Amino acid sequence: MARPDFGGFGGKGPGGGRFGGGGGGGRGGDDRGRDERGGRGGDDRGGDEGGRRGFGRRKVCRFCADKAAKVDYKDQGQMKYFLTERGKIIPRRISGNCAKHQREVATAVKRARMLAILPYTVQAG
Amino acid sequence: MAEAQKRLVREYETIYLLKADTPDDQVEEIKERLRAMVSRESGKVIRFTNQGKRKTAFPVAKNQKALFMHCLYVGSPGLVTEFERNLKMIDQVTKFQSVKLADGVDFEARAVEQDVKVQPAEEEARPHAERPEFGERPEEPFEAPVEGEE
Repeated sequence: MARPDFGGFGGKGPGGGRFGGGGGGGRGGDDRGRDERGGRGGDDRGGDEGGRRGFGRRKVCRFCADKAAKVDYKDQGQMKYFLTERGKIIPRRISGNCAKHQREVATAVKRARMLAILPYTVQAG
Repeated sequence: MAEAQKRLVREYETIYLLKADTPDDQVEEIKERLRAMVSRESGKVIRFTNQGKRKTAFPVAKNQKALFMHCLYVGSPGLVTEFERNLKMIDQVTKFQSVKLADGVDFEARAVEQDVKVQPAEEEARPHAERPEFGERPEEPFEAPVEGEE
């Protein structure tokens, strides 16, 4: 979200790449959380290396990316993707959904819970 | 003028859960009973889907399994109330939920379909193993962004 115009610069580009790579390979969820924080902090500090961190990887809403995909509360496999192991709904910040689709996902998860397709809570264990 | 003749109705779906030990003929009987009720209320059942016996996320009526039935139908708003009232009267039904799918459906144009029976997906042995992306994430990283804004 922050300054894509700088991203094109030679000096900055590799920096982002390096941090993204070091930050943690494939684990999108964790990465994402840190990226956002780094980005916001960077605004205050005025674009130092810390603020640049990890712009190389931006998540897109999976429902926007694939127009054919519909949020379906009956589809257990699809819904599971938006839940933590404890059965909580994964926030938009981490799942990468757009606002509209996150709302739909949230409603769908709640519907599925009522029908015992998804759990309300999962005991730790 | 032709539009004035059209009968516009709404499309709904209801999922109801039956006790897992319900015999097949009784499942059919409940189906026919609901179908008759819907036509009596001048609606139309598009199709019933038998989604098979599945494990529920938590015990329902002291049972870990339930038979999931899905019914798609069109009709006026009052039909849903009647549908749910009927479900309440059937002892085998443990849970149900209705959702409106569409407004302004042309009653005549919506064709009736065959009833479907789908096999339940096999119970996966490792429920969370397939999501490494989220699985390893610490549970509560959420408050942290506040520090960055100060």
